Amino acid sequence: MAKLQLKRAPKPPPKSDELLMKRVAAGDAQAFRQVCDEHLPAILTYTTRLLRNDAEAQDLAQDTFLKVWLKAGEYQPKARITTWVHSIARHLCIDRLRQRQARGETLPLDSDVDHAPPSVEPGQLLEKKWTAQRVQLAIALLPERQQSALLLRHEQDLSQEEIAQILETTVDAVESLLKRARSALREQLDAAELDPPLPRQ
Amino acid sequence: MTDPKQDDWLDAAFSALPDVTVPADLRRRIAELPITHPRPTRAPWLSPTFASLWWSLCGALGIVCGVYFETPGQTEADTELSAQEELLTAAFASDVGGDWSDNWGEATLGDAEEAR
Repeated sequence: MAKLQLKRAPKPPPKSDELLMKRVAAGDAQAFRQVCDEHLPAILTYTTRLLRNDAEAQDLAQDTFLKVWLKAGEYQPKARITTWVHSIARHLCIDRLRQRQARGETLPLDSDVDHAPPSVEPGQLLEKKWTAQRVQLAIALLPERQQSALLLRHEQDLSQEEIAQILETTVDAVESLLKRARSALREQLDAAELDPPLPRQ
Repeated sequence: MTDPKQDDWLDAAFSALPDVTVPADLRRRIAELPITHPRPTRAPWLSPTFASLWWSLCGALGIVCGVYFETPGQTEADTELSAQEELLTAAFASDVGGDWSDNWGEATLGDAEEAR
């Protein structure tokens, strides 16, 4: 039986996004600060995961919002602000990763365990650090598009339509990308002898 | 259509990742971007509206000039002048000798007719 697939059109962004970006484009610093407050944590998380270096990730997040400020007039109200800002951040990350590759740099892994709350027991802390590093490394070994698809879906909680806009591809391609990414990540984690908390589906 | 987000092991893997906190310094630097990087103001004559008006004006001027220089009356006047010039040249060569254009400003069509 032929599988019926309904083509999903991307949902239009809320009117508030369009109005807010119009204010930013008109030079309203208060509106710009509102955009930053809403999207900076997500953008910094995304750049930190992709670059695996806190200092570089912070620089890049700043560059992202500098572009948002300077190019606010180019915002098209066919996407949510978060989609547009993630798209800018992704392009900057790709440039940075290419520069690294050209210089022959290896994958850095930051000491993210420093962010763990002080109430955690030392044994738990070590285990948490070990698990975090395995997962980080497993994600880092995936191609950039697969990393982005996974991070945007599972960490940023964006829809497949929005991920398709950020990756400049179709929803079907995103779905396929996510399947391959999930499978590759599972293999990486298995190879790293990381016991998944729950059995495989 | 399956959504890969339904995998619990994936959620567990991502929850193992450390939280990323925004440093206060970064938040401050970004909030100050409108001050540290004021948006460049574009000169009004570089605006798209002005540019399109400018090119429209140039186009209109080009059309006017083209029409003016290609008018049939103008071409006929040019032909008439050339004929008179030939007549002067022929008259001076046969009767006065030399090139009439050496005496440009002095010789007239009347002189040429008289010489003939």
